[in-house]
Amino acid sequence: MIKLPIYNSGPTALQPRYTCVNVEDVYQVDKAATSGSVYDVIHIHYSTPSFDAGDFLRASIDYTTGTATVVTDQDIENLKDLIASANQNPSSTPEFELIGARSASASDIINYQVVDIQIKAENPAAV
Amino acid sequence: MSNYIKIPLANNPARSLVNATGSLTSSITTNSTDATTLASPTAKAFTTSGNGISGVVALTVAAGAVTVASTTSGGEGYKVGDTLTFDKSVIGGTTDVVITLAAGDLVASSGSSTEPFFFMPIDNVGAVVKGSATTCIVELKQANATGTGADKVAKYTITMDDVPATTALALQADVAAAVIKAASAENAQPEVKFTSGAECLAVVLS
Repeated sequence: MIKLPIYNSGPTALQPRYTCVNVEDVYQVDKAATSGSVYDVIHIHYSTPSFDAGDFLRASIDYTTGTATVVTDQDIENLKDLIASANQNPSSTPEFELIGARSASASDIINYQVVDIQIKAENPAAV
Repeated sequence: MSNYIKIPLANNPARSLVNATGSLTSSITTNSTDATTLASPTAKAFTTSGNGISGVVALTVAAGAVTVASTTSGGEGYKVGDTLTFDKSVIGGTTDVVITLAAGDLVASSGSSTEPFFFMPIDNVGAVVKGSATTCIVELKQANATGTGADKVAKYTITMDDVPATTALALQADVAAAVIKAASAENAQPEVKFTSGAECLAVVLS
């Protein structure tokens, strides 16, 4: 399990509250764009099968608040490392933070907080 | 090893009044002997000991006493045991009329009155996601054979009362906090602490 800051959830942007995502059985992590080349979604692919042939479960972590890219290749690598670390320490629930949040101003930091999460079934071969 | 979170269920959830003629007559616990006569049902202002709002009650008074008390608008947020007090300055005479709400005076609730907690296993929790001001969704990392579209994934739906009010984000964070705590401590079975005093009516797996 990892925890993620929720968009606009705390008394201030610098004091967010958190949600959580299961990271067991994850075999792939990648970024996605909701519009053109604006990357603002992270996909976590599980090896957990759905009931439809070829479908597996996938979590979408959506950071869409504006029109700028917030998820980078380095974020994906960092998340992979965090997932590996979390699975090596089963009782840990480390926090995942996008790199951009570290240099964001107090007023912009909410753009690096999670707006929505969904778990879906999809066919990896068809994506 | 499986761990759980405990979701407290409302055993006296806030609800609307039953909207019917004479619905509150049998719950009058203090009556007057010298109130001003009201030959036909007339809405009268009252105060409540609880947090209920917007309820409208009409009274009929004969020979100084309230003979019929009817809810004409159910309002919301009333609980068993709350009192509705009609001040003597409103109904006349020298005595306040008091109605003490019983279960039958309120609309039916899906909240449990026998089970104090719902125990939710967290081992296959996928994510705690945002629902609405009265629901929180815990999606499982588990397929749902009968679902279609977004419902191909199994989930718990936690339904909250709308009084006292909370927000979708607060509900999400409240539930997630307990899941994070349970995941971090195998021997803990943390209780979900709902901010704003929000109360859980039901938890349904689908």
